[in-house]
Amino acid sequence: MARWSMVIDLDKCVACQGCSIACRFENNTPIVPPEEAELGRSMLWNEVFPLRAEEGDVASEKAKFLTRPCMHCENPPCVKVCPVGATYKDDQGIVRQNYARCIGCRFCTVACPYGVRYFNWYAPQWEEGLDRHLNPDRVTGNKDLEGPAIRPRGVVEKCTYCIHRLHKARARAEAEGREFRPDEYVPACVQTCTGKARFFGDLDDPDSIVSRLSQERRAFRLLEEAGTHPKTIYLQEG
Amino acid sequence: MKTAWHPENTYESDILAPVKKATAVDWWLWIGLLAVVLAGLAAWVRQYILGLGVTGMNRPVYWGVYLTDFVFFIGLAHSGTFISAILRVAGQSWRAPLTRAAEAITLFSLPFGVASILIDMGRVDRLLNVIVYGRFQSPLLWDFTAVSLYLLSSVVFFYFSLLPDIALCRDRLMDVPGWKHRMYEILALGWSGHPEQYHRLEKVLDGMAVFMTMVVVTVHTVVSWVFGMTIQPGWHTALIGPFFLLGAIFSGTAAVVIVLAILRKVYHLENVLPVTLFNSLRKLLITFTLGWIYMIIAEFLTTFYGNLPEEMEVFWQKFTGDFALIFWAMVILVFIVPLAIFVFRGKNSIPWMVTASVLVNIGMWLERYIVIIPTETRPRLLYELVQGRYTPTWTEWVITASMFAGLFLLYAVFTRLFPIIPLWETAETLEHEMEPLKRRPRRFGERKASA
Amino acid sequence: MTPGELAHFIVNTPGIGGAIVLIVITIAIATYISLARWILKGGTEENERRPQRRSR
Repeated sequence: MARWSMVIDLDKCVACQGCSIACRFENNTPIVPPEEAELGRSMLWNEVFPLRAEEGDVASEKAKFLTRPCMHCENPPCVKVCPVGATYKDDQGIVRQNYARCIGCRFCTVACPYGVRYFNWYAPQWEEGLDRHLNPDRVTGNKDLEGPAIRPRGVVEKCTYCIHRLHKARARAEAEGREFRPDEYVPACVQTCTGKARFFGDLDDPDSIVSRLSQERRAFRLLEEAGTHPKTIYLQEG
Repeated sequence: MKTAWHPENTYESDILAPVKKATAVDWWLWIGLLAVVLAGLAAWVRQYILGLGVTGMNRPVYWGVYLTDFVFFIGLAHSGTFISAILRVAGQSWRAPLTRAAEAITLFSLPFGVASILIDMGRVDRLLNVIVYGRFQSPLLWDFTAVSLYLLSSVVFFYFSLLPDIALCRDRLMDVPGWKHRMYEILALGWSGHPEQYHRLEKVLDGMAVFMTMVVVTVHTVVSWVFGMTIQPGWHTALIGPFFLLGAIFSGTAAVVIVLAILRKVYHLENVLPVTLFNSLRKLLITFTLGWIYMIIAEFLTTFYGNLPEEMEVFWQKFTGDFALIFWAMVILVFIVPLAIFVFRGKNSIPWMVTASVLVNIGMWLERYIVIIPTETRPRLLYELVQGRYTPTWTEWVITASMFAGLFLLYAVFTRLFPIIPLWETAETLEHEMEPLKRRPRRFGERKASA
Repeated sequence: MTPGELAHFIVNTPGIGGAIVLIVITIAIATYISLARWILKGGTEENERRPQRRSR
């Protein structure tokens, strides 16, 4: 079984926000009107933040950015607090969200120290035209509804490492009667990344690109001290 | 029809007077309160149809006024259990006249605590998922267990102690409307006032008081753990449980003072609710005020001294940041002014006691707000990336107002249906009526009961 | 199954938490109903026949 992981090289990132946009179209994240965005209700599973320079520190005045998908923690604080098991870590280490079961209590959103979880304050809406170009993919099962499936109002959603792409890749391998290879699947943000700053692969395979990069001296994880053991790993600038 | 035996109570007619008839003022009050409740209901229906976007909640302030209401109402509910259960266990007999008035606060504010949570849910239509897919690792399940057990137990505890008085209403109030008498007949469960019944009732109430004391401690601690179990700065502290519990009993006891003063004035119960009762409550309230400031100092000094960056973000939000006005208002309303009033003016003065108690309750609502919101505006990672703001919308205020109106309405209607002062617990004769069954050996020097 | 695994299973499995809530509430309801019956039985004929030192 694979243990999926993403490495983001901040040295190569040009902050083009291509990952954000690719994620939006891949996963049908709703677009909110400007006044809603003003309130802080915009939805970007893969958000790009400008880092504030330290005051009076000339050396840190260079513009710096951080792109932030879900950390897919090994010990996810959001999964612990979910009262109904709507969010869970699957056997490949991906933290998933079942829109069909979520009761909208927003416990996970306040428990996540990374703020990667988003709540549907209203039913999602798309502008005229955009609604004809939604991604038809979805992950369904026994009372499950995941991935890019259109969310109802009042549920929580989050980055899934494009779980539907994994399902499709596995299905293709099965249809062709061969073994599934970990390099057959990457999330949309990794595929689109302009600076080729994002890497994706299996952390259990010692030869995979993410395993090798995670051992680099530049490698770090966000809030390592929180004990969440993220599987989204960053490579420091410089 | 066979009537039951009832213990003698000198003030029986005083206590029963409000139950006999509702006045025109009552009806106007009820209609007014009902209008507010219906306004809140309409606001909630609108919110349910449109989505939680009609509130001011956002990212990262995912929890707002509704969670504040939840914690506040559950806290208010602790009044009754504190007065009737904890003081019963402690053998404080002065509490007898005010037990029911206090327990009624418990009974009628708990449902609004539960309602706050339901109003806050994005998908309240999926409520049953909590049973079908409930995971016990989530503190919300602990809440579900504790709060529902608490609600059930307080209804039962309240009803048991009401039983002899319902029977009394059934036997004494003959000129009430037919439906009302019928209600007493059904609810009295054929209570006959047999000494053995009283004996068993006392035994059960004593036992349940011990159990209720444990439940009350559990409930408010578990409520605080919804916040405390996350790793967010400002919430993740071991003190949050005891702090919430103390605050709950504090605001609850203050609420009892307000309610007693109103009952005393409106229903002319000056004889039954003497000013000495308020003096006893005053002593408790002084203790709680000092306990509260102790908790505040213990909490904030630890944070300040430790000086962890993400904790300090939240700390300064409260002391000098966006929430400074509310924070200092809270300190003045909960601690400085009430303590001064309780100590210097409260003795033998009901108006001063009520003033201070109202301030305490406003301040305690603000305290719940201050515990919940500032932490969310400065989450652990995002405090340097995204800073939250939160302004509640009219929907949240209308729904909050309607829940308070609902609490008053239920209370007001209840006082017109059942005696709000326990007749049998304040009766003079009960003790020695039961003596033969208790078989208590007569102590040296004790006078023989006159049969 | 070790005790650790059992504890993990109990807290972590969707549905078991709901069952715990139901069990607690059911036990409470049953207890309260039997307590109520026990109190009210204090006034039955059986007790009436018991020798009383004083009449009502």
